[in-house]
Amino acid sequence: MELKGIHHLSALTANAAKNVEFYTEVMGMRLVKKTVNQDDVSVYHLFYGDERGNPGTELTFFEIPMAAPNHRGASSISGTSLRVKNDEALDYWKKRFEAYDVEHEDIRVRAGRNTLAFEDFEGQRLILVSDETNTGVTGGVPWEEAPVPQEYGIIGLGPIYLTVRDPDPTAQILMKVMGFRRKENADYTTDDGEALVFETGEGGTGAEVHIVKTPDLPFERQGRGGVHHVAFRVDDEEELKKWITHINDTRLPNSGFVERYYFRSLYFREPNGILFELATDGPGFDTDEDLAHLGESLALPPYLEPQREQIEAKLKPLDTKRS
Amino acid sequence: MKHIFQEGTNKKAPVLLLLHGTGGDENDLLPLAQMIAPESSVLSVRGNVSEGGMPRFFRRLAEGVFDEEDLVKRTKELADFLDESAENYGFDRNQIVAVGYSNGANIAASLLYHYEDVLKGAILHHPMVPLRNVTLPSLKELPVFIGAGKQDPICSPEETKELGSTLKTAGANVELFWENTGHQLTKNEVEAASEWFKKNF
Repeated sequence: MELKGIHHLSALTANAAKNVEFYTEVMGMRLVKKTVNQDDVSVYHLFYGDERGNPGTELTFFEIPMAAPNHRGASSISGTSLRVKNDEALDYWKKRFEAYDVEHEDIRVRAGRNTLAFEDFEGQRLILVSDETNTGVTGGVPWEEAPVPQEYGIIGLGPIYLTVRDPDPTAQILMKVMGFRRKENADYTTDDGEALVFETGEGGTGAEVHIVKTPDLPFERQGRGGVHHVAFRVDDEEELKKWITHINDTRLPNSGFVERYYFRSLYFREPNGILFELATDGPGFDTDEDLAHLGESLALPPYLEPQREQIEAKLKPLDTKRS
Repeated sequence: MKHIFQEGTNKKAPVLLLLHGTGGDENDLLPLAQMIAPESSVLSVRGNVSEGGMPRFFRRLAEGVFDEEDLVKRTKELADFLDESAENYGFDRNQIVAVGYSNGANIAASLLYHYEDVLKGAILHHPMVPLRNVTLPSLKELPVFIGAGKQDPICSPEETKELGSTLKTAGANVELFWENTGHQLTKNEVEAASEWFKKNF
């Protein structure tokens, strides 16, 4: 039983239309699914990824139209990395961010890799990370029809940053319950505090969690531009069931098995209150849509299909059809 | 391990091993020993782990989430300490009955999960299942008293029953005592434990 790496990350936006525009047109990611939040079907859930939304490449957003801005703080997922192939790609992105007026820093080294931190229109904190020297979990394949040249495209999610007052309880759960390990000699200093590096599975950018220690920071108040949860990869349903038994045995309060249709999940909070999910690699996003037309129309899992009319009536139309 | 040893008036009576709950210390359960077996010698131990200044017998990762690695290590530490103490104080190593509450009951249960002949009997007030997916040694007729609260938010009745049946399967004679209360230790429960002790020893 080993978690293979990052599966997806789900964040919050107050504006689905602008969100689609930013992540598809500026970031060149593929909208692989336009569906609703299964826990609140009145709002959109948008999935971006590589050419087919392979596990480890999915960045997802819940739309909460009236959401207040995120108040940054402790007990939060405070940064999401996006992988690119090499350092040359970072140079391309720096120019692209300048051209599109995207808030960004200079290219700098984090944990031994070249990175480029930037923010979306709602202050969502993202960091491009170069796979120039990376080994471990392989990335995905950028969609060839995206407005970004394929060789510079985003190939997946990179290290996920957790900001907590006391890293120890989170670290213990990561290592003793979830099977992560400390990455040797990888700890480093960030602008906010010391960062501890953990990895799982084959390791590398696609399988790392960085915990940043901020003892005096007030707690985050989640809102638009914040992150809701991070999910880690398990092979299949059989493996997930083993994890569910294991998590139950430790007595960590958890959701039990959850059917998400595109994958199957388990949710639980680690001791600092950050929401973790374990999710299966399959079935994937082409189970209910043709690969050529992913994300173009509102997709609903079979158990929500009977309510399509009511659901669509409540949603603000969002045109994602490609001409 | 930090501890108190009080020699009893009856050298033939079992020695009571007292194991406190989280945040307690070796003085906490001394009154219990008086109620259960006033003539017995008493070995009362303080947990070696500190959680924000609160003594415990083993680490936990979160509320109710045990650090199993540490639990195994601390269980061995306690078992070794019992061997040394019998040597030091000259009592019979095979005549120890544990009395534990909450975290102390958990480490006592863990002793039973890991070692044969480690205790002569055990009074477990509000214990949880120390760990799962392990094979217990033979407990051949070992008397165990488990006190539990039907409204206990920390330890559910299911958990109590699981512990009871696991110990039974390994051969122990388990007596379950239920109160309609929470995690606190009631006078009723102590009296029931005292009755049970007189019946068994």
